[in-house]
Amino acid sequence: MRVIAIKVMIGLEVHCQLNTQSKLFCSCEAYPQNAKPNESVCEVCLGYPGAKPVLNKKAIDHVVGIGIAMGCKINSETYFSRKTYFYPDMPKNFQITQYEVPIASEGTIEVNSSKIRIRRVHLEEDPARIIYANGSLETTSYVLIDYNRAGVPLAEIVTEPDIGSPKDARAFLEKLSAILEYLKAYDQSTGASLRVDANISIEGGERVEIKNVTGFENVEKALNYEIVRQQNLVRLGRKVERETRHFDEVAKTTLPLRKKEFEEDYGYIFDPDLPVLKISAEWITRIREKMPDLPDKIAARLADEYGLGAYDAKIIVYTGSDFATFFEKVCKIHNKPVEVSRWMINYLLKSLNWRSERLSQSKVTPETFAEFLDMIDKGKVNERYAKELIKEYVDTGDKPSEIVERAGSPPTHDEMERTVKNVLKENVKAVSELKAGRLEAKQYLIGMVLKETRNRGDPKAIARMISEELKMPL
Amino acid sequence: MVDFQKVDASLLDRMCSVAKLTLNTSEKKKFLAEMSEILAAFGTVEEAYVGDTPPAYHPTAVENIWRDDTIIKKSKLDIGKNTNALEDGYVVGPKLV
Amino acid sequence: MPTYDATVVTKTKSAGGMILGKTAQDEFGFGTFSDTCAYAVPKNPIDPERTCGGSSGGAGCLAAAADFPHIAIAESTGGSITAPAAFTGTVGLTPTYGRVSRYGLIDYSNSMDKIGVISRKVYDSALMLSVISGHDPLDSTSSRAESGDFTAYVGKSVKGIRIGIPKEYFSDVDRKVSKPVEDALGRLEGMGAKTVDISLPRTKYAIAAYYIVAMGEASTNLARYCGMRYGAQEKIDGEFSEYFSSIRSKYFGEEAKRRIILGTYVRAAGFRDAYYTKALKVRGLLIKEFKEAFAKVDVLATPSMPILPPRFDEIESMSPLDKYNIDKMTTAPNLCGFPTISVPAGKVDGLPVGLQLIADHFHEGELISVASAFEGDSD
Repeated sequence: MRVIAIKVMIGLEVHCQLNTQSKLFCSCEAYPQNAKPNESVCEVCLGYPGAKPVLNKKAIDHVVGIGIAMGCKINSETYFSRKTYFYPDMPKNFQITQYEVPIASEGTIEVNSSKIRIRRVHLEEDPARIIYANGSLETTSYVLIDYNRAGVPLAEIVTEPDIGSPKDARAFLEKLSAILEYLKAYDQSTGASLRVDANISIEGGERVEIKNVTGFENVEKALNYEIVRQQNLVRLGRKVERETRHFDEVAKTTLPLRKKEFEEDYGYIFDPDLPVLKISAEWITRIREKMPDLPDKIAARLADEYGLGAYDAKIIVYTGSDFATFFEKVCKIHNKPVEVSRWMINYLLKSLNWRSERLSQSKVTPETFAEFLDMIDKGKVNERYAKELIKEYVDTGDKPSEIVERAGSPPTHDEMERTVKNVLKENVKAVSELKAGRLEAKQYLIGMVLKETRNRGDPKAIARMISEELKMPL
Repeated sequence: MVDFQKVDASLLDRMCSVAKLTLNTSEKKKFLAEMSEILAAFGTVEEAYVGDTPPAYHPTAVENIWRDDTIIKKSKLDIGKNTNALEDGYVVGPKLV
Repeated sequence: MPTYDATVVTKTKSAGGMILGKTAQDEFGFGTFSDTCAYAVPKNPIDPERTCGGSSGGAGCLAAAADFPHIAIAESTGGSITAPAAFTGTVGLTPTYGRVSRYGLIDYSNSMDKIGVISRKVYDSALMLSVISGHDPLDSTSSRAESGDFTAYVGKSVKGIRIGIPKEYFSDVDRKVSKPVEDALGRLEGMGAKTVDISLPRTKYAIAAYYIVAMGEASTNLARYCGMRYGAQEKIDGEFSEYFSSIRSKYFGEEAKRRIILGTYVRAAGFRDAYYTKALKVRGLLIKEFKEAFAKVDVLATPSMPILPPRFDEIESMSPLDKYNIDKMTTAPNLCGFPTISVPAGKVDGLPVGLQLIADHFHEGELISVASAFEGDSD
């Protein structure tokens, strides 16, 4: 991969759909499951004339918590503003947000040893969801709008342009999302999502905004693409225009969003339907006291309590709170933390990722996983075989003992001996190399035996059999 | 200090663009003349000495109003009562670009 | 087509009220003469060549003309209850901002809109106010102040009540209007009230501050009308900017367009601090000035309107700014959320003149007492 040695400044605006039951300004269900379009709506979130907003207390608590977790200052008097602009996804053609004074400001998050400054964390409402009736953004002749999403509470987290690379941007997002998850401010299982607007400029040039990217991998891709695009422009002697673009997930490119003859003038006013919000020191203390442990702290504890390496502890914690909880539960049953950690990080996680499944959504349980590790320990299943088994285990959630039984009984001693004899007969070259003292040949032969037995059988026992057959010392 | 009287055609055009209104030529002429007069009158606020009086967002003091995070299922709102522009339950809207 | 009831309607129905229908008003409440009604323009029952006032003109008209027991619900942002009450010779009660829930009220200027009453008698207004007042959890600006039965204030003596006369409200007013008001004050003194000369020097900033805030807020409230989901709609065609502009330009009346553009201007980057934020500070100042006066007096008294109800042809020749200036008696108390009542103070050339009383926040009781005493004396 080419290392880009130019000065890149990246700032992110992350919109996090907050973990509440009801919407920000009305009592409609925020995350209805299997809902038809426009089913969870009312006159308030539809922006019908005469309807008025009433704040959701839980949403405020969440944003205060997020601010505290990022070391922000919590502002004692904060206001809501109307950001007026016209767009088909806007029920009122103004968005209620916080312009002048956000709930939280001036914090930091440390990522890969760089301190990323957090400019602000504020509360605002989500617009409706648009889908294209026929075609893409450019080609559809009209759009279809679902207001189920309109009014969902969003925490907007804005960074300074302190992020220096697309890779760091991704790392930042992964850390941020873990923090939000541990705070219980963000719960993916309800269908809530994080959307990112990324701002990037290279070599101190004009800033380009890429709007509404979902998925951290896509953010990284979009930023990588932008760097190349902007560099190409510069190379051709052209200017990088200040503009807004969107990320095409299919083509993996960024495209201009709309050519505007003028810049939007949001004409901010204080929302006159919403009174001032005064956040007292007691309120902040209450939230701070009830706050769950944050990922870094938990990782340090796991490393300390369970003797894990700091890096591995971080992986377990940042994969998700369900992952970390699972780890501790398994360790209670199968008290070999390093082994548990190794199998979770290197194999369990891979299988889950392959199924695009989170641990909490899967059929895996601490009891069955502990049994799995126990079988490996006792030699009932060899490691190579276990690595295959784990896929089936994650797929089915069946007890490992059952899976092994289904696969048929392991080869008997006689069957093993017969297989070893066959392999030795067929691999003459390897045998002579082994006899000549080349130990790698032994590994090769063991491998060939395991290939025959579909990875059943204890490699140590096979090694012994080979030595006996060839009348060699072990 | 802002020059309140200076409302020229390009500023009017810009305000119309932002507010999604299109005026025809005669409307523009009329509005331009009126606006200059009206905005000059509005300009009297400039003369008021306010010292460090904070902006009064509401005339009567209210603060910290919110509700508990509970779902209240109102009777299903029939969007069709006010529009026919519906397709498979979605509201139909104009394209984006 | 409304899909829900406004809180005021729900309360009225619960109290056994029978909703007869809707009355005409200026489009979105933008006007002092009800001359921009979408349907027919209401004509003054006393002289059909003249306006009923506005924006709640239809309410005023019906209150004056109905020959059956009837109370009208009306709305005031800058004086739209007082104007029709004064011009039709009825009683118009504008409560304190926050006294009556705004849930379901189509917004003009959210920090100033107040739902009130127009009726024949002070008692009826007090009765209706009792029904529609009260805290509403659906309206975040709704007050928790004690409401209760306002009719208890009807018929109370005005002995010892201090009535402030702000001189700024009597200069630059048609003499035909100020004379009956002065006479009215004389009669109140005769009943035992005391009049006190007061000065409210910042009144001169009120109209500008009022219109800046009102139009600023209104221009955001009217953004939602864009041909989607409700209201005027046409076949969805073209890109959203074109569709929205086309429909808004076609269906908004001239005054609505004017206020939207002016409101957009006072909020625009570069102008916002000088206009909008400054106007909000002026509001703060005006509230302070009124409160200082209310430390010395119980109510303030002024003419309700600076002129007699004009003829429609006179209105035709007024410029928009001329019309805005007609509100000068009512803009300051409305901007500042103070409750007011307008009672008929007699007729000049056969045309009604209104006496406006202003009280401190949540002191509607004093208004009702003084107004009913005066009304009782006039009968």
